[in-house]
Amino acid sequence: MEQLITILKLKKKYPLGDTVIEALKGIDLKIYKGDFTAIVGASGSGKSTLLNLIGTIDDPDDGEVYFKDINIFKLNENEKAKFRNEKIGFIFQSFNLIPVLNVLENVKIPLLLNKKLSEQQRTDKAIESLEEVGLKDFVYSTPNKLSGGQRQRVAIARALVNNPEFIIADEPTANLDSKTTMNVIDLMLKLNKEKGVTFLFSTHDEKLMDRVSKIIHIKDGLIL
Amino acid sequence: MIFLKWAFLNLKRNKRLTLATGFALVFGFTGLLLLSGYIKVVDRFVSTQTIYLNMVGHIGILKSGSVEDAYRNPEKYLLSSEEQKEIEQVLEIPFLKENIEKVSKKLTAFALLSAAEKNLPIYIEAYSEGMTAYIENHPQLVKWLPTLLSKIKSSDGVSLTKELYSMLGHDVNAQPIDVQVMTKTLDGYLNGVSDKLTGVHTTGLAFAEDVSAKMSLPKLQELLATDKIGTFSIFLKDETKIEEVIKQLKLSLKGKGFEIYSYNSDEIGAYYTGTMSFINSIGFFFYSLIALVSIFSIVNTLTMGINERTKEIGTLRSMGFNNYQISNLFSLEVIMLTFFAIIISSILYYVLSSFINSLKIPFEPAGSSGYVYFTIYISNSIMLAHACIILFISYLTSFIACKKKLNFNIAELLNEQGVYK
Amino acid sequence: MKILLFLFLALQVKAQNLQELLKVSDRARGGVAQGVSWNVKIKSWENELQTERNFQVKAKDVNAYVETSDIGRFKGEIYLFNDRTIWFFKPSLKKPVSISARERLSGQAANGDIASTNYARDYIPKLLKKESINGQNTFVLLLKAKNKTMTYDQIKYWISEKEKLGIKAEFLTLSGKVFKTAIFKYSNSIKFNGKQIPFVSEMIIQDAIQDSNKSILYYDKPVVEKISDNIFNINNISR
Repeated sequence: MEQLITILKLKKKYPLGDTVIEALKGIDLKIYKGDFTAIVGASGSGKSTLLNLIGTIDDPDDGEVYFKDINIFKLNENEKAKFRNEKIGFIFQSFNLIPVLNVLENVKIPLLLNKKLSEQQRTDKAIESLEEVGLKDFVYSTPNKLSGGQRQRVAIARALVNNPEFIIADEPTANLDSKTTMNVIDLMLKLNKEKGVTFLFSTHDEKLMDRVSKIIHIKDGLIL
Repeated sequence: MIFLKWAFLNLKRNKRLTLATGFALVFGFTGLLLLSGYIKVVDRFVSTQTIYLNMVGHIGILKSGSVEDAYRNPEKYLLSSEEQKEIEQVLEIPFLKENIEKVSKKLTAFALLSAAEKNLPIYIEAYSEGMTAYIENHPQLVKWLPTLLSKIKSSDGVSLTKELYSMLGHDVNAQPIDVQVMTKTLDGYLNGVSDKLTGVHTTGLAFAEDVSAKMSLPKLQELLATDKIGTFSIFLKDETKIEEVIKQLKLSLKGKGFEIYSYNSDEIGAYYTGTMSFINSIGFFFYSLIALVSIFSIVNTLTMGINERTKEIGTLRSMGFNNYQISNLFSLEVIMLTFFAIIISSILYYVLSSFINSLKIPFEPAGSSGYVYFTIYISNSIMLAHACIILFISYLTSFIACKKKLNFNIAELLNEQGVYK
Repeated sequence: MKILLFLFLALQVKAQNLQELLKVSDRARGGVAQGVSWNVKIKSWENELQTERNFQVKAKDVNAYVETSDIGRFKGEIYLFNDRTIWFFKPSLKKPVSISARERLSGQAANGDIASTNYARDYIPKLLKKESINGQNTFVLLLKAKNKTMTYDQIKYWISEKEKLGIKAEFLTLSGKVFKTAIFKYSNSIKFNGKQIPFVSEMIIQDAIQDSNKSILYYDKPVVEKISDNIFNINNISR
């Protein structure tokens, strides 16, 4: 299997008033293409920090993260932005949809940075992505008219639209009821199995453990 | 198109804030346009007064050093008849001939006017024949200073202002009377001439109305016992050609000991430059005030908008948008709002100006010898120029305002509590 | 000691009458009741220009009729000193023009104004001190104008003690600064009441502010003669 992400001795500290919190104390990890990996741990264990660092939306204090053979922390800001746009899809706990745009426009956002695509091409790709998540009939609805599960599916469609190498999801089901949670996880699984999308997501929901192919337990900033 | 729609919808998100900023921009911009329109009119008043009423012309040709030293030694700095011929020859150059409407020789002197048992100190300006008739019906005067035209009546004798007529106790419309004019000649001797008081004129300047007199050039030359003159005043067909004509004159008269000035120079147009520099200072003060208020409104709106949307910003950055691209999104909102403000302001500018102009409000500017109508100049170029400036200021302000907030770490942006609607 | 000196001076002057002093000094410059005439050449240096003018003067009491002897552009030029008014006339004018106070500050009008100044009539004298100038003892008087129409409000005047002739005058501005000075010389003489008395021969008028500006009046052939009042009548002067 192709090794996608290699993490070496990753460390991160946060100041908290007069003290310093060591969120990650030296993580070593490998993620392979096609993995459906859950990072599991209690609140404050360092799951979100790990995902943020892999997603280049935060900077480590020490250690390295390689995407294939690229050391992502050696990239400058513009290179990181390009990397995020082309290689990573993000799914957030609170969905983070743009409220003034409709579903189709929300899904198109990552495509707007690709100047080589025409407007029609962007629309077609977005609709295709929405079809994958079963929301083709809601293209012109605004987020406030959708349920929590539907919003999260829009977020998944947005994360997928640019055919990223992997998707990072930080507690994607935390704000959903149990039924919707299962639906969303099943959708993610489906995309993983049928389209080979690599997922790396954090959760503290034990009910999801039997659906994932790989579980990484994290506690006090270290992998168990 | 999505960006335009996005910007427009974001403006609608917080209607109250958008309207408040929009009103500030509308009132500010309308104020700027009206102020500019007024300043433009003042410029036209004062320049018309300087060029035509005071017969400075668009361009003056003088002897080098005369501006600084003529008062000490007038004779040294007058143009001799040979020098006059030299200049007249140059004025025959085709390029100059086709751009020049009229040329006048000019000579001035302080003197004493004696008439009707009274003696009055006067300042005489003498011009080439036919100049008063040229000025009397000039389109520029008719357009910008129509109310002062009634104070002009051309003559070939001595012309005084209405103020001087009143000081003499003589009616403007009465039969011409004999006057004696006395002064020291250029070589220092007392001399006098007699003439008839036949004309009336105005300088447009209150402070000059009680000394200004005009007489024919040959008569003043007889009084001063000279054939010299002080200046050539050149009147152009098209004011926009001043620089070109001056360039040609400087080329043709290079090294011959002459100075060439335009009417808006301190040397020959001190009243114009003094007045306009004062008006422009006032204008600049108000421009700056309005610009500052607009900038603060925009910064305030943007800051609040950014604070409300930090999570959105973080999300966009996670999707690959860089700071510059996100800053442009906010700038687009500001520019859109400014654009709407410009449209509304422009309409208000046209409507208000037309209304004010239609009222024909008589107004006596400080230092003027008569009244003019309070007018606002209506011009597309003023409107466009200001629109460009305010759009630029808006863009720059938004760019600078965004810079600080967007420099945050993405994780921090995503962690902040934003208002989600 | 100073008080004694001052008292001594005061006694001296009281005996001589300051007003009488002024009258005698005026006479030596043309203030003769029945009339006196003379020729005058005026050389002037003003603002780097040098000029020379020639006039014939007829003076009687407080009036003077001055006509140019020059030809060409100056032909027919007349200055009439009529009491306190100075009139100017030339053939190019239809009637005479009175010369303003400003005109009297420079040029020929100024020279004429100073030359014709009638100290006894127009000024109130006050003795300041005694002074010796070029070996001559003089009374130094401060003259204050009797009315506001005078060109000079105050004049400092040196009169020789022995001959009662004006030696020097300083014409002061309102603030008391010296505006012009005049130096008088008396090499001429005229017959007055059967006696030969000194008459002015030279008057040097110097501008105190621009010291390159000065005029020298050379008096020639003064003679006492009967002069008709008609020539001093302004209405008789016109084209």
